[in-house]
This record gives sequence, C-alpha cells and structure tokens, in this order.
Amino acid sequence: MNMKHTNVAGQNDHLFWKLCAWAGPLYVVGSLIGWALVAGFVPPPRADWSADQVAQFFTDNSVRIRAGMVLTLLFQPLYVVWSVAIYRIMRTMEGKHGTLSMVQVLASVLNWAIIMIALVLWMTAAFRPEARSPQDIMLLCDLGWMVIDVPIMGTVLQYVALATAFLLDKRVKPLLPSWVCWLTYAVAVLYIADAIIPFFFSGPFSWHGLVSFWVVYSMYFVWMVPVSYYVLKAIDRLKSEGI
Amino acid sequence: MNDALLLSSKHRYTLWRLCAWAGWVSMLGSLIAWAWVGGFVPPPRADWTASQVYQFYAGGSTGVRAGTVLTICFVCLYWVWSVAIARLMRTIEGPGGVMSTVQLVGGISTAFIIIAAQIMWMTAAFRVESRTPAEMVLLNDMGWMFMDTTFMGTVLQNCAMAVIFMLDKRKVPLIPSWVCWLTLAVAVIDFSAGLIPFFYAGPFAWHGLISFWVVFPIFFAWMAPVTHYLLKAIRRLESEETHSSSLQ
Repeated sequence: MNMKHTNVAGQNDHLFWKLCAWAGPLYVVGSLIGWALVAGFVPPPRADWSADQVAQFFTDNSVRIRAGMVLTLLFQPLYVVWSVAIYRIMRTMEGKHGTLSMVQVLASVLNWAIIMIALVLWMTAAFRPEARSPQDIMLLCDLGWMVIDVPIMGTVLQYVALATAFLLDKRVKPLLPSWVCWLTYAVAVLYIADAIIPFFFSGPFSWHGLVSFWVVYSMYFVWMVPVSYYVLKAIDRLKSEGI
Repeated sequence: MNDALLLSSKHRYTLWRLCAWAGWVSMLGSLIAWAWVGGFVPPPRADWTASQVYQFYAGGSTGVRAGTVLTICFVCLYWVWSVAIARLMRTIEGPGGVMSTVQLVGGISTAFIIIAAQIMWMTAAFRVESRTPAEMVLLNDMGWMFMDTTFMGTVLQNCAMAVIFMLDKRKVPLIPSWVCWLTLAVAVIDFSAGLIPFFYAGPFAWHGLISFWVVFPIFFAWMAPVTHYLLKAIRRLESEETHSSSLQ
C-alpha cells in the first residue's frame, strides 16, 4: 500500500527490537524463580507416586504452588515476544515472503500455549485441595504433565526452522554461529524423549526421569542463553549494516 | 510497495474495514452469548458449595452449552480484530516493526484462553446426570483459572498497541491519546485477575467486585472506543491514499 509511514522506525525501531530480545533472558529467570523456586516443581511430583502422595504434595504446598504458578504465568508471554525478535532477524535474511520465520514464530505460540495450560492445571490442583478427592488431584497433575510434555513437536518445529534459516545465512561470519545451530538441532532431537512419557511410570523416560525431565528441562533453559546472546549481538550488527 | 498488488485499493480497504468490524461483532456477540445465553452474569461463585455449583450447571445445562459454543464462535473474531489493529500499527512502525506482531500474538492469547475456559464450563454442563458435584467444582474452577490468571497476554497486547499509537507523529494522531491511556489503564486493572487463586470471597475472588464486576465490564467497554477510532483511522488512510493518487 502506497502510504507514507510516519515511521517510528529509526532509533525506536531498534530499541523495541532489542527490548523484545531481552524478553528471552527475563523469561528464563522469571520462569525458574516462579516454577522451580516458588512453586517447588524441581524435583517434580513423580509419576510413580500414589494418589495420596500426589494429594499430599499439592495440599502441603498449596499456597506456594498457586503463587509460583501465577508468577510463572506472568512471564510466559515473554517467550513469544522473544521469538518475535528472532522472527524479525530471520525476515531480514529470507525476505518478507519467507516461510521459516513464520513457522518459527507460530511454533513458539504453540510452545507458550501448552506451557500455560499445564500451569493452570497444576494451579487448579493446588486450589482448595482439601475439598477434592486424591484421585481428582492426581488427574489434574497427570493432565498437566501430559499437556506440557507430549505436544513437544511445536517446540521441535520452532528449533528446526530457526536452525535451518541461520545455517543458510551466507555471511562470512553468520549472525548465529553454526555451533549454536547444530546445538539447536541436537536439542530438538532430544526433546522427542518428552513425547513418550505416557508409557513410563518410572525410569529415565517417565516425566520425572533423568532424560525426560532433568536433561530436557535443563536444556530448554540453557539453550536460550547462547541464542539470546547472539540474537542481541545480531540486532546490533544489523543496525550497523543499516537494516 | 504498490508492485504486484492484484487487489484494488478499494478492495484492500474494504477487507481491512471488515476485519475492524469484527471487533463490534466479537464484543456484542460474546457479551450476549456468555452473559445472557450462558447465564454467567452474575457468575457461579468461588465460595459456593459443591451442590450449589452442581445446581448451576445442572439447572442451566442447555443454556451453558449453547452460550459457551456461541462465545467460542464470537471470540474467534477477536483474532480478526487484532489483525486489523496490527495492520494499522504497521502503517506507523513500518513493515518491519516488531510491536504489531507482539500485539497480534497478545490478541491470539486473549482469545485462546477464553476458548479454553468455555470448554471447561461446557464440559461441566455436558451429561450432568453422570457427574459428581466434586467434578463440577473441578471443571468450574479450571475454567475460572484459565479465564483470569492468564491475563498477561492481554497486558502485552494493550501495552504494544498503546505505545505505538502514542508514538504516532501526526498532528492529529490516528488513535487519540486518551484511548491509549485507557488501554494502559485496562492493562493495569487486569493484574487483579492474577489474585483469584488466593481468594474465595471478597473483591478479589473471581466473582468479586474488582476481579469480576470491574475487570470484565471494562474489558468489553474498552473495545468500543478502540474499534470506533480504528474504523475512523482506516477511513482516513483510505482518503489520504485516494487523494494522493488523484494528484499524480
């Protein structure tokens, strides 16, 4: 459309872009404090617990779980904001009709949505637990883990789209170093371990297990550190290139 | 940017205007469907006993199911409305701007969680005779948790749109600054929805004075000036474009 932009672009444009990129580190810190520290989900309620043990966990920690989930929910949309900053970088590489950037940002919406649903389910388990049967609390707890772990393909898609686009970057010194791209592929493959939790109640592939919980969840947060670092650097570089 | 556009300018603006009109339809439609057909105003209370909750869903079973189904239909139009706003924001921040996308994603979030809540309530009203009162309480609780505690997406949507429209450098901005300030105020008020897991009674319970009677009416009312000025802005941009092309 041939309309003049009363452009905010210029200084504000890069400012907003960088603010969006900073949402990533903020998301990691906020989610860890809310979910791991306040709610006490590390170590998580186990898949091999009896209904009474699960009910005990949500009853004893009722207030801190509710507080932790509300706090974590405050930070969740920041994941998508961060992905919008990456989307914008990818668009400078693949042009405005690019598809990978779109896949990346839409998949991040899915990732955010499933996490949000799981947090609400656990929050409900901790809301008036004394009035619920242990079976009902167990049902909510199970539902939460099924929702947060099994639909992992959205996140895998986001990683694959992101890594592929940045590997195709033809710059002498690419915006995202190739080791970060290969790490992204590796983490994406690893995440598939989360899709098989419905078949295990104990062992490394149960939802509280070594692979499906400790490795996958650690990598989820750790992976965002180098990516956020290079994303922030990339925005500065693009600014100096005049984009 | 005029290259290879196969739609005429008139058609493009008509489609845009239709998307903006989705705001009116979404606002009025979901209000009627949820409050009147579904019977959620006044809402089932957080301090009700299990049998009272059961009575609400068993007594209003058909109404709740019809109301929630209709609400889902109308809430989807909220996405369409958010696309019209994103488009207007892009005329200010340029095609590469990030805030219009943040706004759009915030709009998706808002509609998505409202849909999730409707499904919980709908399930509570489905085959009521074979459910226990405790299960009804569970589904009702889940619905309110979805509806209220996930407000942060809406806050982002409001902030992104208010900031960009405030930075509009026109003499008469596309969206007046009082609407931007109202949008920010709505975002601040939304934070009270995050308190509902801690209250069973009082103003911050989900049925309470603030968390319900202030937050929900203000949300619906806020859509009215935004939609009104959105449509006005689209008209303005269209006449600017026709005017400038007729001079050439």
